[in-house]
Amino acid sequence: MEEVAAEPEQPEPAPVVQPEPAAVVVEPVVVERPPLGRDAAGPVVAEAEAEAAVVDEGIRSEFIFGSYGRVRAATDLQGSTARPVNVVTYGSRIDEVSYAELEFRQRFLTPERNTSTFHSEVVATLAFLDDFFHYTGRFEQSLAMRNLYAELGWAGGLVDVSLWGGSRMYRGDDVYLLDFWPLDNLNTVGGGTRVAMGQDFGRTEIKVHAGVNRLVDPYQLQVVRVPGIEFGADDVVFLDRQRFIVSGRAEQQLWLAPQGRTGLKLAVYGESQHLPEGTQRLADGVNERTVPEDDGWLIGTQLGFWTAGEGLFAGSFANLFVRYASDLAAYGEFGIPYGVNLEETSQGASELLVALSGNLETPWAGLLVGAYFKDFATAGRESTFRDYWETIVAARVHAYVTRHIHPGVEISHQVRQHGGPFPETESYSSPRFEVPAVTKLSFIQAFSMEPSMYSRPQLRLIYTASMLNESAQRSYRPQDPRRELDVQHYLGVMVEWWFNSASY
Amino acid sequence: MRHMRLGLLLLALLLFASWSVASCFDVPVNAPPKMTTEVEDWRDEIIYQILVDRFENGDKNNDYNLDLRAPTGWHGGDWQGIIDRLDYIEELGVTALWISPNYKNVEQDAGISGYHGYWPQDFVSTNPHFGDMNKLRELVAESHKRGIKVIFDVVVNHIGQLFYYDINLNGRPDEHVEGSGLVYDQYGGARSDLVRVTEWDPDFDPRGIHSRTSLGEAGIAPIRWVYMPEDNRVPPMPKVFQNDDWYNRKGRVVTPWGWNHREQVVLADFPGGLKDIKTSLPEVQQEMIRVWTHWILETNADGFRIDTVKHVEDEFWKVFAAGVRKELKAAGKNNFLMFGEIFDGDDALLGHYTKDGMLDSVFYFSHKYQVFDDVFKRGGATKKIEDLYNARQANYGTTPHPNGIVDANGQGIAPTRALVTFLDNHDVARFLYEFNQVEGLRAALFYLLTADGIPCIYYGTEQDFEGGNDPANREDMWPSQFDTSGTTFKHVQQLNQLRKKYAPLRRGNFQLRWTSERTATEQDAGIVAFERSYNGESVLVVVNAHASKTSETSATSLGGGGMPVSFAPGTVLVNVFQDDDANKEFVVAADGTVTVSVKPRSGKILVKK
Repeated sequence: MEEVAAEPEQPEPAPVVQPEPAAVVVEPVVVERPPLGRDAAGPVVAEAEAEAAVVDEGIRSEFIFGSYGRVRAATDLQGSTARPVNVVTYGSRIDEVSYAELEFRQRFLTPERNTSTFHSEVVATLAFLDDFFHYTGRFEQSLAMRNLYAELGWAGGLVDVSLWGGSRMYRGDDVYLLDFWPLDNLNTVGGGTRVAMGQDFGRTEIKVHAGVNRLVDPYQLQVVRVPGIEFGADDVVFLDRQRFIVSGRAEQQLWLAPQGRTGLKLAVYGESQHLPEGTQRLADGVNERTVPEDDGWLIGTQLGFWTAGEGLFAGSFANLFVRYASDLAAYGEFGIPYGVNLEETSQGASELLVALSGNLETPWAGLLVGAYFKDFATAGRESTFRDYWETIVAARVHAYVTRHIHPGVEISHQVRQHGGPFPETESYSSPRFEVPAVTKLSFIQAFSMEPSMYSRPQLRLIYTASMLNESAQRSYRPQDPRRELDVQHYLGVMVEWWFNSASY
Repeated sequence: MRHMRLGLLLLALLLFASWSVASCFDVPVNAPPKMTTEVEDWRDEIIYQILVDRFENGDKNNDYNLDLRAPTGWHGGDWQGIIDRLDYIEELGVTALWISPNYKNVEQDAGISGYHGYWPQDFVSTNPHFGDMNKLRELVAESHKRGIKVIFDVVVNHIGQLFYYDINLNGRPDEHVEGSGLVYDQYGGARSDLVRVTEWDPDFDPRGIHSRTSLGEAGIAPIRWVYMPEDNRVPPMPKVFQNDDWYNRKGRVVTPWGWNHREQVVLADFPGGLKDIKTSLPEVQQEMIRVWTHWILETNADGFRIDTVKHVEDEFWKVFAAGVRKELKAAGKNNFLMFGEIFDGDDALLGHYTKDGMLDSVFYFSHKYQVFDDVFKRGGATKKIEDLYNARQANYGTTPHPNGIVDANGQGIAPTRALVTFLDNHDVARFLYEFNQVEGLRAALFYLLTADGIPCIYYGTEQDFEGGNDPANREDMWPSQFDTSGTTFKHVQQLNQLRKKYAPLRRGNFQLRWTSERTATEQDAGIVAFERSYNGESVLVVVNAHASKTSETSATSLGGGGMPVSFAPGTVLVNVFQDDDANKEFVVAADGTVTVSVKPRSGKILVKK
């Protein structure tokens, strides 16, 4: 179910494949930076399809191919494409659409001298969304460049320092079941630096980034037709407002077992956004208006626990996220503010988010959970339909019947409460506050290489019943046949994989 | 190290050379020319009217949006084309060019292109279809080298259709029909009148166009500027013209009766949605002086032909004409001609605009209608010529304007002596369309080029073009291949040469010696004769406008007398116009009269032998 409100569109996120660092123990999926000093518990360099070559006097060069992808074939049991059913911003990913990334990286590494090395890499990630040729019959594809950057670094002793520049998705840990990065998730063109320091008891990492975007939207970019110098008309960039974004993240790991096989981590994240003032040409082509400058900030924290290595619960983890965003930052870096205040800015908008992600692994079964609560208020004076709070809780369990056969069940419930009456059903005398809710129950037969919730590739046969209350049904337009369905079915097969793809 | 030094030396030399070359080319090639006074006496001039888009395509680089199949489309003519054809123009013998408006025009509106130039959008930028400012300067300079003057076309009355009236206040231009047109017998014949309402071009409302909704009127309708850059329909330039208060905003003249309604004539929008500028405002008047003198100061052109004069207040013309003369005189440009278009047959109305410091001259429409149409086309009595001439002193300004046009001695020339005469132009059907006999055209040209006034020939006349009303009368010139061997071309050429040779034909006074009430088979039917004298030299011109009969300057067979002339008895007068008439010499009789016989549709120019 599509969002009823005009929620800022999220970029299709790539999956987080490892709740750091637990997942790396489970699956060698991450091609990581060179080991950090004595950080033997750091991510393991995958033995990927790397082709080493000597470039120049000992500089080692590697080409690495990586990928994330999911492809599904699904029906709604009525002969049509099964589509995601959600009333919250980040619903359960059980029925989400196909998506894939192809990542190419070339790495250069100097030999170790006096215990230090220099390294660099160039990363290019192409992403493809859903409309695959074999389904649409159209020899074309929606694609995006999700990464195109270069990084240079130095590692020596206990310190690892790197600089990067380019176009990059830049983020931390996710809630896998919801395909959601609840604390930090930025997509900009810019650069940043990272400093990591190893200690006997853990590891410290500080990351700072600055970047810009200039969305193709009249809010930030306006191209107007003007009479040509001689004939006809020319296009002139009339409004060009870059959104300037700065972010910083500090993380401290506290190792409770040797080499960080078990540990705690605390992360603090902050973000600031700024948009300068601009002049916008009105639709009449003649008059203009001033678009005021705007800014916003965000702060959040993450508390995590993991256990890795071997043992009864090896590979388990839990992360708790809390985030508060104000003004422009409440809409996200790709968001166009709506519900603005009298000054036509986003000042006064806010978002409070609490999220939980966890995985409990045992030799016999695994349990994944994901949940969040989000309270969003626009900058408008009144609380309206555009303001809302929403929440979702999802849990997936797989039994490891054999090493490769893992039947499972997922259940989720999501609900949204709007701050004002639903426009379609409001009445002057008795405004009707709709509370759409969806409960999904899924049966999954998964096949994978290992008995793990994060083992990939994984092939799933899925049946999902999405049960909608009346409000959820009303969030479809009256002309949409799905409005009549209180249960929507999903039957399909999905494959999901990742390897060598973790360039965040 | 040596290589490095050498490299640095070469780099320094390269930089110096670049700077030097750049400096050499940094000459003011775009600088406006020095103002010069090219005209000794405007009565010496023969104007040749050129519709630039239709004359000659000299530069393929400015061919944009051409549609040669469409008479209302752009056809590609440009200023370079005129430059390329200056030999032709010079060979024809004309001495001044009146060209289409120079400014940037609306590209097209309602499927009709702005090739003619009368839909202003930017008053100070050149029309890119024609060329740039440098090319315009080149046209003026090249013309001047050949003794040819250049006259620019001026529009102050209106801009193109660049705004609409938001009558229903919905912020977009609408056009709809109200009423059903039905009559309801059961309600005593009550009518539901059918009314077309267009926000582009609403009918004149003396109060100003009012907005109205289903509840009634809602005050003066706001105007909304349109923005269609592809058609160059964007708010006018310079930007001061984007002031809503600079327009009268009373809607379009309600044709045809509105043309007789003075308030509408002056304050209403022109048909086609051309929005009427509020020329009564002093700031508008000053801006018009600024933008129009700008064109002269940039190019050193020699005169203005001014469009739609009667649609603008008298006060404007007094201020504008005086202002332009003053500005140009201060810049060194003297003897600058301003003649106006009053598209009207009312001789008194035409003359009105030559008085009180207004214009130096007007396009002599009453003369076109009463002389060329009535007499030369329709065979009317030549007495009409005399009647019209006799009204001139009363109807037109008889005293020169301060800083106005002057003669070779610096004496001011009164408007009565400088009227611009013509057979046809771009707004009326060509002479041959209404009267398709080339002999008649040549007779009319004979009169045009010998009689009093500053003659103006519409391009293509010399090629016997015969197009009907606009746009059929705006033919492409190039199919004629600029032929210089045609009879009419030669006819015009010879008359122009004679006009140049004999000063009385240009500057001489004008004394009608013979006109006639008779139009049938009478002795003098169709005859008009006049004498022109200048500095002691006289020329006698006799024209027979009759279509089929040789006539003579005498009424003896009707009981009248002969034609008295100023030449002494016994003077032998010889026809200097070469034609096939063997009868070339005439002797002034003892009684001071001379009888000249002229074949139908022809004329003679007689000078003392």
